[in-house]
Order: sequence, then C-alpha cells, then structure tokens
Amino acid sequence: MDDEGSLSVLNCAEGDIKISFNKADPQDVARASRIIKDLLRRGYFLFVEIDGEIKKVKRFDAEHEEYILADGPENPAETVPDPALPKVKGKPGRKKGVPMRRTTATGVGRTAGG
Amino acid sequence: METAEVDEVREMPTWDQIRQRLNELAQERGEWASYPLPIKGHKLVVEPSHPMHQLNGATLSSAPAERLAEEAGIADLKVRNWWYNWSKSILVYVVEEEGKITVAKLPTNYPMERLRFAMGTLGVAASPAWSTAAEFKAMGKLSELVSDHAFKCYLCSGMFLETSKRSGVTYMFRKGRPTLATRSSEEHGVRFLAALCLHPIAYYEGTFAGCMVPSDDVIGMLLMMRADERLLWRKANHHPVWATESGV
Repeated sequence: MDDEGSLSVLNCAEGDIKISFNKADPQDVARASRIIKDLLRRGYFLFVEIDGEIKKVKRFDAEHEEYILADGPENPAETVPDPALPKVKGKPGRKKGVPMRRTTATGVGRTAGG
Repeated sequence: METAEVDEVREMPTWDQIRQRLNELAQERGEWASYPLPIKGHKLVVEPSHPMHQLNGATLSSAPAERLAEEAGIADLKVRNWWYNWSKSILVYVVEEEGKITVAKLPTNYPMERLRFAMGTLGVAASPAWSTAAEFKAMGKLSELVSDHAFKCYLCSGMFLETSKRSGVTYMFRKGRPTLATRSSEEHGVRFLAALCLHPIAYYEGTFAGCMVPSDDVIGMLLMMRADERLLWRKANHHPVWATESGV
C-alpha cells in the first residue's frame, strides 16, 4: 500500500511476521524506527529490495529515516569469479541510503550454523 | 481417568497456544524472531549470543540428565587427530583414553546414519516445533522472492537452483537440507564446493531441522547469498560431500 512501508521478520512461531507502519503517522514511524534500530543492535540481518536486487542494511539513520546499505559484496574466498561472466555494474564501496517509508525490509535473526 | 484428571487435561494449553504465548513474550522483549521451542528427543543448539542461550542443549525428556549421559555411553575420550580416508570412505580417529592411544575407524554417511538424520528431521516436523500455518506463510514469502519457475521446482521437488551473478557459483536451495554449492565449467564439469548449513536462531542437534520452519531457513540463506555471499559462507557450516551432515 502507498501509505505503508513495511518490515517483516522471519519468526519461529509464525513463519514470517509483518511490522507495518503508517508513514503519515509520526508516532507509527518513530515506533518503526526504534524497532529497526533495536533489531540491528541485537545482531539481526536486515535485507531490502532495491530495483529488483537484494541489499544488506549496514545501519539505520533514524534522523533521515533511511536504511544505509553495506558496501558492495565481495566474492567468498572459496569461489573465484568467473572471468567469462559480465561484471556487475556499480562501484563497490559506495554507501547509499534508502528511505524507510518506501522500502520493504526483511529481518533474519542471528544464525546458529547447522 | 478420574474426573479431576480429565478436567486438568482439558485446562492444559495446546502446543499452538504455547507457541503463540512464547512468541508474544519474545516480542514484548524485542525478539521479533521469537524463541526456539525445546522438544522431546533432540537437543537445541542455540546461537551463542542469543538472549535465550541458556536453552542451549535443552530437550524435553523425562529421564534425569545423569541417566541420559550413562545411557549414551559417553567416555572420557580425547581426540588427538582425525581424517577422512577417500579410498575406503571411512573416518579415522586417533583417540586417547586414560593415557592409551587407539585408532578407531568409522564408516560415515552409511545408510543407517543417513536414515537416522532423516528420521530425526521427520521427528522435528512431527513435533510442536513447527506449524503448518508457519510453513505456508514462509512458502508464500519465498514465492515473492523467486521466479514462478523456481517456486514450481521448489513446490514439486523441494529444491531450486540459483546462480550467483557475482561468483558464478550455483546454489541448490533445498527444503529441510543444507544448500549445495557447485561450480560448472566445460573443462571440469560440475564441481562440488560445499554443503552450506545454517539456521536462524537455533537448530535441533542430529537433524537437518532448524527452530524455524524449513522454508524460513531457505529464505534466510537466499537473502544472504544475494546480498552478501561472503557473509553466507562465513556464517554457514561447510560440510564435505562425504559427510552425513551434507544431506547428499
């Protein structure tokens, strides 16, 4: 919905819970900001979808209500980039903010291996 | 059964109610992922920094802890070294017990061990840990993240493939099993890299099951792979193809 940004969190009991907020309600937005900051402080991973791509949130700028994205992802050490593949566009290392009110984010709790 | 006992049973909460109340309690404390639920038969392995880390090792059992340890036959062994023998498909352990060194050779990934893992996972599915509603919800979320074709594969086979645009590694995401990472080339064909296993919050020891429904595990790994592949490889346990834990 246009008036709602949203945050969903993977949940043991319900599979997935949605924390919606009305961007027209300052109290609702403030509550959502507190939850987002708290999730990151607790070690949750937050992922947002931007232009069809999934990005990891590095931190949350409560003043500007923006998710600050992590630096460009690196290849894991176990894999060597295939030189035949086209290079992914975009400069690595450039941080940018995406507005909370227009973005859907997914929270994933700290992982326990397996 | 006496009337009083019948009344007592009727007043007992259902597992759905217990799970819901646990979820409410967790959310009141800011843990939006909820808390893992101890079940009978399998110990919980909880992420070390989780606020409910005291649940690590928890299981619902009527046997006293001392008797459980005795029945398990746990001796005071020290493993000095171990390796996998590819030609014989066995694990070799050099162990020390009361100053005496011995060598033990154990078959691995043999059928009964694979069956034990599979039955354990089925046991978690049959337990109160997971609910049908939660799995359907998670599958609904997964359907929003992948193509129609990939979701059809997942629905029909429990698996789907996705190749990383960055590294070229192909990941086979599987319901209730570790994710398999492979790389294909014309020169070498398909090469197995690792079976990656991780679960948000906690998992049940000796099974492939996490404390969240299986599709939630898949979603977590998929998001990590797409956003930060290095994070996925750093956080996951890497199982070789010959290990039972690989689920191969």
